[in-house]
Amino acid sequence: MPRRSSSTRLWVLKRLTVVSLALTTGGSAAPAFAQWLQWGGPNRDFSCNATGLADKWPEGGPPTIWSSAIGPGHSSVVVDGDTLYTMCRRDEKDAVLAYNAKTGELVWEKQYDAPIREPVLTGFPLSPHSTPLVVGERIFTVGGMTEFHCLNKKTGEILWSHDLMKELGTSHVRRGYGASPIAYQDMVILNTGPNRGQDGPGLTAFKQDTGEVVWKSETFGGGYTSPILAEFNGEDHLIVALGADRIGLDPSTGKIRWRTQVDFQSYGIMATPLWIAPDKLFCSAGYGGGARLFKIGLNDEGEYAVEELWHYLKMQVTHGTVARIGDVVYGCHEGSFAPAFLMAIDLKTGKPLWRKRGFAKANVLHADGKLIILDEEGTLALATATPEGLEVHSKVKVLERLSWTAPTLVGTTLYLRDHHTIKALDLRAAGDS
Amino acid sequence: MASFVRESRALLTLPVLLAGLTCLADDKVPPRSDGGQALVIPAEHLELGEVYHITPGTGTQLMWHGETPLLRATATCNRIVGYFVAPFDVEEGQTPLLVGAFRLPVASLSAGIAQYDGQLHGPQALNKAAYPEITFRMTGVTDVKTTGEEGTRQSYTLKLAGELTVKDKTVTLQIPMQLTFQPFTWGTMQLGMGDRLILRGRCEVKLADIGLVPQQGRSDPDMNFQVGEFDFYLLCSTMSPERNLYPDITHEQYRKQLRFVTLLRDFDDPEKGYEFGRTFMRESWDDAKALNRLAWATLTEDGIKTRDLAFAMKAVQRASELTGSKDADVLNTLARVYYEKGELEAALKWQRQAAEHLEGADPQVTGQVRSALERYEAQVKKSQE
Repeated sequence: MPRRSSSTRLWVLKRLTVVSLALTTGGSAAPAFAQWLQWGGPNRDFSCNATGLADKWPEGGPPTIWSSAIGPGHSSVVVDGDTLYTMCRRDEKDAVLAYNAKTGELVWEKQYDAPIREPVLTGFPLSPHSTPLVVGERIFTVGGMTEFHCLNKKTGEILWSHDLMKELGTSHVRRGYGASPIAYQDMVILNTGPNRGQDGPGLTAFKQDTGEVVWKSETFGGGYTSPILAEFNGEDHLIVALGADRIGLDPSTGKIRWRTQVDFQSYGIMATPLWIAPDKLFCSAGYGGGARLFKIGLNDEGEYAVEELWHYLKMQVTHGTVARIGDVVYGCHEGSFAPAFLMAIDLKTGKPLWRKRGFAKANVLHADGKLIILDEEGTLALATATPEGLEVHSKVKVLERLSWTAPTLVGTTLYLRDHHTIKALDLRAAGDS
Repeated sequence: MASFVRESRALLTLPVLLAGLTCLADDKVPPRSDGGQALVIPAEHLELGEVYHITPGTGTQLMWHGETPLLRATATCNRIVGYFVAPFDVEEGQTPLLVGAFRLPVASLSAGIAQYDGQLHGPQALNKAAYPEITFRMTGVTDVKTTGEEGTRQSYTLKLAGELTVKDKTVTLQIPMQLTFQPFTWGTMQLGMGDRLILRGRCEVKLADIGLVPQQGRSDPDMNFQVGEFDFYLLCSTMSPERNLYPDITHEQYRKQLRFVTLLRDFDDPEKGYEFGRTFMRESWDDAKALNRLAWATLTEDGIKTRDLAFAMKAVQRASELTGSKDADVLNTLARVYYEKGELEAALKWQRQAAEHLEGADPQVTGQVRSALERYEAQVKKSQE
């Protein structure tokens, strides 16, 4: 039976949602609203309430505010006031990096040993894929080889650590751990799933201040997908797509509230689930999985029940991001190394509305009525996406292959990185200051 | 072929939509892309739906069979490149195949007997020098029937209409075919990535219609083929054969490497192949990895008939110079050149050096280096006995 306790989610959101810090911009494009504290932004859905973006960019692309060197990594950027955080690889070590968000100057770098743990698949960087989480004075990070750290965000001092593989049997899924932590109340919650067929908690919650384990969930399949939080039926749900499981848990205890399983083909790399309030969940899996819409409800006994409303095979988002505008989800069908298509799918019917060639595998971000697209070739685009089609206003190459890192937008500043460079671009409309 | 499932479900006859689509196809077979392993697909074809590239190199794509009372021969080919376009989602009543075309390099047709191959490629037959490729252009589809559905796999029978051009002769064909769509699964991953389309069918062609007539004085019907049977098995994928999956190789480098191999292997044209290779080598003179790949392909790529060891040596020696003779992958290639030259002692010397530099090497390279070292050591030992 579901608990009917009052939601504590607001407490979390207050800490993670965009707030005005009234920074002095000094004429640069440094953001006035300066927080993006976790994977996916304020609501973990790659949509944000930024305004004042240009409708079109200059021919050479949006102005570069700064550009700095960085090492390999797919870890995306989080921004807290005037500091941004991300991760990269330094030979046999992982590094957590803090940069000045306005100038690109490196504030501190904390390296720790992270030797390769076999078996790994070579050919693609095994560098940190997970995105840091900032809560209060702490920053939480997970390296590619599953080293979990809590650091002082001002100094980079490591406050406490866990070796997830050693302590909990967590898998790095052979390509390097990729899920990003999420905060709930005084906890930080992580995917800690083991290799398929082995035992170990699918998710684990740790106390933010001490690192003490608060709860461990049942075993689920491993995976790269990051969990999200949603509110339904007056309760908070920790939602995650792992292996063939699509699961909602009580984030206070790790107990399963609801669970459904999809076909084994959808076991592969998956996009972060997208909550469609008040009661639906969009999931997409690459490598033959496809997109699904689930409805979460209550059965006659008052128990949670999950119904699959539709499954459309040919929207396979592997590790890219998706964005929802109204009743349409926009994202990139990545087609198992076949040419990618940016596409729109109608949430009501599960039917594709359009497809567009011309981009490689891409991440999308929605803000100010526009879609910002970054493909793996490093091509950045500004577009308007509607159910009728995609109008691309500007398109410019800004990074190198493989640019898999999802973009971060804070105010009108876009933060991007590849394996060599991290940069801030000014997306303001001309004349704005 | 085992994967081709014929379902016995009730047949659903789809309306015949054929030739209206013919107008969508232009009247020429598109040229090869820069890499040579795909065709340049016209923009209007890209707009029609999902592109399935014919996947060369994975199996026998064509068996060309001829038989007389006193002679029987089969030539095969696995280097056909081309594409078919299908709707993204085949709705009921919709034709499952919209446009398509392919190119077949004459030099890649092989009967497995050098004498036959020489005749087949020679001026009296297919005349490889003047007409290096056989082409096919789809002009329409008729008689479409749904024959099966199993999970995400869908099968049809149909007649594929098209024009086959051999030398300067074009013949119109109606080929009964079986078509299967097999979306990517963990099972098909063994074959490669992408969603699959498989076209399987056969037809007969009068050889005189494609300009293949018996040589003068050799018109004995017991010894000369009159009809050729073409048996196609075209495995296609949404992933292009030219898709570069290697982060450390630029797309341009990858295409050039493919082009080099295509000229040598598919067209058996060492003159053009090594001319292109020399240009590529000059452009890559300071890029050890590119030079190493060039040499390694020259030495090992399956199907290359003329391996220029001096060319490979020049490329890999420069790669070795650039890496200070400390790169296991490069040294492994260098040793292989000596081995192919028959200089076993030198091969062993460089292979040992490769084995000394395995720290941090890719596991695949490590395996290659060690197994080659064992082989060379065994052969040197044997030669000393």
